Order: sequence, then structure tokens, then C-alpha cells
Amino acid sequence: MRRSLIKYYIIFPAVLLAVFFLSVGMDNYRHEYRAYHVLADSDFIYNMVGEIRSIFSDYAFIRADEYLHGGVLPDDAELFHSIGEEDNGQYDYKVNERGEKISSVHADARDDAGSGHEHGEHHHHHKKKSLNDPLTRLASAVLIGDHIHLKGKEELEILPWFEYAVDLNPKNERAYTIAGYWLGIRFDEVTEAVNILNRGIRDNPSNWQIYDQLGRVYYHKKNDIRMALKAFLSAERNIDMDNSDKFQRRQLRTYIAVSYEKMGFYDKSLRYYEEIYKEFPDRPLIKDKIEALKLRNASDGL
Amino acid sequence: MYSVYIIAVNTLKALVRKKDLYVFIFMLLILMGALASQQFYNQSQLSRYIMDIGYYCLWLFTVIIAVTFSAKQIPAEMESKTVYPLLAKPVSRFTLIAGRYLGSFLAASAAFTLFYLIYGIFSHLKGGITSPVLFFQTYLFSLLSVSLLCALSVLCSLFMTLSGAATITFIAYFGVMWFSEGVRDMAVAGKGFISYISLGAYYMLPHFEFYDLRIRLVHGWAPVPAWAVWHLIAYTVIYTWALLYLSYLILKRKYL
Repeated sequence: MRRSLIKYYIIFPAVLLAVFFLSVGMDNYRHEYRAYHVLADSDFIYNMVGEIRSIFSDYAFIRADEYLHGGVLPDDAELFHSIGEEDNGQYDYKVNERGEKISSVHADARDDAGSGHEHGEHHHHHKKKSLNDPLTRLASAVLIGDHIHLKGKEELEILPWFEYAVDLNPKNERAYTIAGYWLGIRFDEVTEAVNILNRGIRDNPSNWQIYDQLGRVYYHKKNDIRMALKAFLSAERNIDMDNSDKFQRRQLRTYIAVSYEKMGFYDKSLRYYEEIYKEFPDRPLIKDKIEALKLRNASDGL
Repeated sequence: MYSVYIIAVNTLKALVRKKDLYVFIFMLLILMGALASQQFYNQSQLSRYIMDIGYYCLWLFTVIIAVTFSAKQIPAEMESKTVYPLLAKPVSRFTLIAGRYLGSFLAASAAFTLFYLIYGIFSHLKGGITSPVLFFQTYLFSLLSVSLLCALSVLCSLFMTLSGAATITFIAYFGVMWFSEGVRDMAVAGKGFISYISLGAYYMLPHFEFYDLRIRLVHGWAPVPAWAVWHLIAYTVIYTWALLYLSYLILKRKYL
């Protein structure tokens, strides 16, 4: 009887875990060294294991999100999803739907954590209808109902989960993009950001967002406009109506236009601004920019 | 009381003879070592992932030991017929239940203490322990949870087979951990009969989720207030005693 218990509760899960991690390891090996991309799509085992891996990979990605909020998954914040929606190439910290900066933290939040008090504008208290009895009061004293936004070096703690997410599923495009953002833009680990984004591009060569993120890192952190433009143009080749919305396309074109302008290719820059204006005719700033570039082109022609 | 002590010590000795404990210690050492040796993007001071995954695994090992160990105590006794000479001695049925529970609790607690020690060393080396008070509270709460788990497992083992009792206890444990908040929400948001049923279930369930301080510990939240610690200790003592008394009533009705 004892043997059967050991079999059920120890050996069986251990073997399952071993098979899982071995299969991931072997698959990564094949992927890395044997040009596995084409084979993978028609491989039954890859697809079977791939599904499980993608679940674990998504879970790892969610854990990164939890970590950013002090271990609690907020149900009302926009989290990582809103990254990359800035306008006019002005890359700044992201804000959630209430206009609050993501990953900022109120100074008092940590001191009062778990006490159920309001902590100012950056610390959210989920007001749920609740019972009022000793058991519920005990629950609210022990369980964490609020979330905080990490600050400074604490934010670095999210990094392992990005690594796990992309290791488990090299097709997790979002994990590469967000990892690139945090490493490059937030943590100033530019070389690491470029490495992970290039790895993402190798695994997902047709994903425009990874190229876009790479371009932003080159643009904002390395000030390498030539490389940034190269990445933005690669993103443009892969972006279309199905995988983006018009605001994302505007953002990308703005980056391209600004990059061309900075490199002195005013006519190309003008062409991109005109494309943007066609889709957003109600933006006077873009119109002013077009006029300015036309004047500049004209003066250059003289 | 002395009889309870003797039964408990014998149960504890069984843990030392079992190989499960050593396998788990070995697995934990490998896991913590592997996690500690990982480096992510040139950042060497990351500790939360180690504390998080490490605690999750050590707690899982503890739950496995607590449940399987306590679930097999009385059925094994009955199967091997050793329960008859034991009850023929001046040992009451409650003493038998209490002794087996205490033995299982001590065994699982000893295993947990060893795991927690390993965990503490690795976490300390990585600079992850920010609050010794919280570290101790996590230890204490885990022991309280083990107590409740062992009592529940002993109760289940009285009217189920060994595998059945272990499985039901696992389901009860993870079910409460994952869904008890949902039950409370149903009690609050539901209407009429559903609300009453949910409310009843919410009050009756053993709230294992109260003992889980992993998030607090890993992410450096504030320690649990002292009044809540005392309340939880009282809650555990009352609930454990109730489960053991129920077990005694069931055993009393059995023809042995």
C-alpha cells in the first residue's frame, strides 16, 4: 500500500516533470542547432509538448506581471499591455487607464502594506463587497488584497520570469517585446535588451513588434538612428491591417519619419508624415510638420 | 497523555525510516542549488524567484508528507490488525486518534523544519530575507497549516481507503486554496438559497489559504499583525480539535 502511494504521489509526478523538462531541453537543442523551424510545424510531438510549454510560458509571463505588483495580480490595471502606445515618438513611462504611471510606487505603500488602508494615488485598494464577521476580518488581515507598484531595483525581480517565458516557448513574442522594453528602456541594460530582442527576431522573424522594440532601444538608448531605422523598416515590412491597429501603425511611421529626418532624408521623412496625415487629418501638428519639411525640401532644392 | 506521547514518538520514528524524506531533501537541495546558480541578464542580486519557487516546492513536499503520512496511520493499523492489541491495552480510542495525529503532525513538522532550514540558508545567501519576523511567521503559519492538514487527513482515513483519503485531502486542500475566495464572493453576491449555502460552506471550510504567507515573505510585505496571529492560532486549535473529535466519534462507532 505504501509503495502504491509513493508511486502515485511521488514517482508519477516526478517522471512527468522530468519528461516535461527533458522534452523542453531537447527541443530547445534541436531548435538552436538544427534549424528546426520548418520541422517544428509538422512535428506531432513538438505540437503536443508545444501546447503545454506555451501554457507554462504564459504563466511565467503572468508571474512577471504579479511580481511587478508586489506578488498580486491586479485586476484593473493595464499592466504590460499598454506598453508601446506612446505618441509622436515621445517614449515615456507607460500609464494605465487611469493615467497612473506603471511601476511607480507610493512611498508609504510598502510600510502600510496589507493594512487595508488607502495609499494615495498609486496604491489601489480593491473595494469589494464583503462580509463583516471575525473570519472575514481575519482574512483581510492575513491575505493581501492590494497591489503596489515596485520601484527602483526591486523592478529587476521580474526579469527571471521573462527568461523562463521565452525559454519555455520561443514563440512567445510578447515576452520578448516586453523583456526588451524593461531591459532596454527601464533598466538601461541596452546590450542585454538588444540580445534578447535579436533572439526574439531569430525565433519570430515575422513579428513586427519585436523589430519595433529593437528600433526604440537603438533610438532612445543607443542613439543609433541608422540601426533604429533599419529595425523600424523591418517592422514596417511585417506590420499590416490584421496584426496592428491604426494607432500602432501611426506610431511606427512616426518613428520612421523622425529617424529619416534626423538622418537628413527629408523627402523620405515627408512621405511618411503625409501617410500619417492621410489617416489622421485632424492632427494639426502633423500638418505643420509637413509644411515645415516641404519648405525645407524647397530650400534644399534652391 | 503518556500513551499519546508513546504513539506519537513511534509515528515520528517511522518518518526517519521512510525514504521519502531523504528523496525530498535531495530534490530540494538540487532545486535550490540550480535556482541559485542561475543568472539573468547580468543581474546577480535577484532573489525573489528563488524564494518563490523554493517555498512553493518545499511546501508541496510538506503537504505530500503530511497527507500521505497521516492518511496511512490508522488504516495501516487496522489492516495489520495491530489496532486490536493496542486497544486491548488501556488506550482509549481518542488516545489512539490523538497519538496518531500528533505523530503525523510532528513528522510532517520535522520534515518541514528541515526543508525550511535549507530554504532559509539559500534565501539568506541570496539576500532575500528582509524581515526575520515575517520569516518566523511563515514558519509558524506553515506548522499551523500542517496541523489542520494532518487532522483532516486522519478524519478522511477513517471512512475511506488510504488512497481515497489521501486524494480527498489533496482535493480539499487545493480546492480551498484556489476557490474559497470564490465561495465567499458567491455568499456576498448570491441571493437566497445559493447565498446561504455558500455562506455556510465558507464558514465550515478549513481555510488553508490563511496560512499561506508566501507572497508576503517573497515580496517583502509587512508581517501579519499580532492579533491576527493569535486569532489564527485559536482558529487552528479549535478546528483541529473539532476534526479530531469527529474522528473519535467515527472510530467509536466502528466495530473493532
